[in-house]
Amino acid sequence: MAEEQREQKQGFFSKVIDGANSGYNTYRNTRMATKVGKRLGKQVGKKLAMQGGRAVAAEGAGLLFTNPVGWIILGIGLVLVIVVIVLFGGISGVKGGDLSNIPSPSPSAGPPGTTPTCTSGDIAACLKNDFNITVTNGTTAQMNDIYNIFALPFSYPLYKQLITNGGGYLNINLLSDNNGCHGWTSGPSINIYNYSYCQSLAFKNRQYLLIHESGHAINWRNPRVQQSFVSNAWNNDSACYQSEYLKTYPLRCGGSCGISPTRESFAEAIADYVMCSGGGTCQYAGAGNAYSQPIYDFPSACPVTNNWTGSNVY
Amino acid sequence: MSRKIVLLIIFLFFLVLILLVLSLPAQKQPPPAPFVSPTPIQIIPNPRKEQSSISTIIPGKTSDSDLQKIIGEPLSRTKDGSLTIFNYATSQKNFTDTVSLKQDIVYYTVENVFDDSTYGTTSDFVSKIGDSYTKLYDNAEGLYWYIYLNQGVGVETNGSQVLKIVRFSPQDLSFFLSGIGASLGISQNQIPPNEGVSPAP
Repeated sequence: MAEEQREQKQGFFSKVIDGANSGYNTYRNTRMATKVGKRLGKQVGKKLAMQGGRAVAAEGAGLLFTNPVGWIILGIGLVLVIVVIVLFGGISGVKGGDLSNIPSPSPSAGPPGTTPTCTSGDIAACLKNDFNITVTNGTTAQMNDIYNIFALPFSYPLYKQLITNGGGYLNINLLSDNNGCHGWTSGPSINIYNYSYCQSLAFKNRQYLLIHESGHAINWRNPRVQQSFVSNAWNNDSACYQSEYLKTYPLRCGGSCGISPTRESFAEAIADYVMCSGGGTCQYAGAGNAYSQPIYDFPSACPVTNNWTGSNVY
Repeated sequence: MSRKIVLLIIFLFFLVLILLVLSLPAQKQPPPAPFVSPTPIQIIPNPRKEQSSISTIIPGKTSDSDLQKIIGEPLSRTKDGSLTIFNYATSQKNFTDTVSLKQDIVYYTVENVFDDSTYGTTSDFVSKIGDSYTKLYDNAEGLYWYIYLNQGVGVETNGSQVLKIVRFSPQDLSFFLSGIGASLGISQNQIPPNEGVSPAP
């Protein structure tokens, strides 16, 4: 079954047209030939003009078709037109390549653009329009807080594209229990518990939590990106990983508790990159949580993780 | 008149010849130079015989010795209770496909999927195998599995992309959940992790 499926998928064949050099040469030759054609045309035209009138034009056409030189000129001209169409059509297109290997277009990573601000005063509308975020059970003050939290990562176009990939909203549900400020993410929904208590902590603590959780939503929407992280960045900076987790992450249980080191490190890298780009002590899960370990100067201490995240998420 | 026809034939011959010359090199040209990725190429030690040969293994039938003929030596072997797990390299560093054996017979296999072209999307998969799947959950992030218990195959998905394929002998749900499901962290209900920044006030 699988073999059959694979065979059905292998239906594309590459057809590559030589690059810009041959195209340019053809173009240059075409121009030169066109110049020659123009000169010849002028000479024939002069001869015909001397005789004047419609009949003479017909006679001229007759001259063109009865004269072997005329046929050759016409043939070369047609051939050159075809050559130009074939070559330049291919060059300006996808070079006849295998369409299955062309990656999806995406904005390139780079420095942040303008930090969004909510000018209308309608915070729920701003969250929806600027970030594709909906908040359930949140007060206006809490929604303002969440807007301010996400203004930082959403200033990076690639982050915005990844977290909204596939359409639909990122839903933030504010819930309550007796376990402090914590959360978890399922698909496009982030569940945050005891947000009032979270607000009693430093702004950066809850900003870290929400951006970390948004990393899980990015994985859910873009699992190939997370696979690339695991293959190219995860567990590569020895000073930054402990038990295969990025060590700022507090729940490093070794996978035995069902918390995946690769998924959590991916989400943690997304939080640490944007929270700790300025150097200093990188540790925002540590408010009363003894299990998170600080990383000093994240960009230089964790260059592989930092650079991968900067290139592929921000 | 006959001269015109001769010239016309010569012209058409010339035209066809030119078009042939133009089309032939395009097919014979070597493939374009591969795109040079800024990410260094990962060297995979001991690559197995064929990347996709895991799909030819038949759980419940393929034996330990057959397995090594088909797929070669694993990168490593681990034990998980009564299971012996063979780990095979994939095209991606840090990902291994696994073949789990019970009493020297393949019990189940897990293949990682890194693109949408090998097996298609999840909807492609469902359109080929049917919708008689049981939806089960991964242990985090909202990923889930479509498990075809009677066909002995399942896919891990985010709803659109296929991320893993598990193959096993056909079995009922309770047997699957207590065996393969337990090993792979697959359950009937989603179990949320409890990530936090602060304990209770």
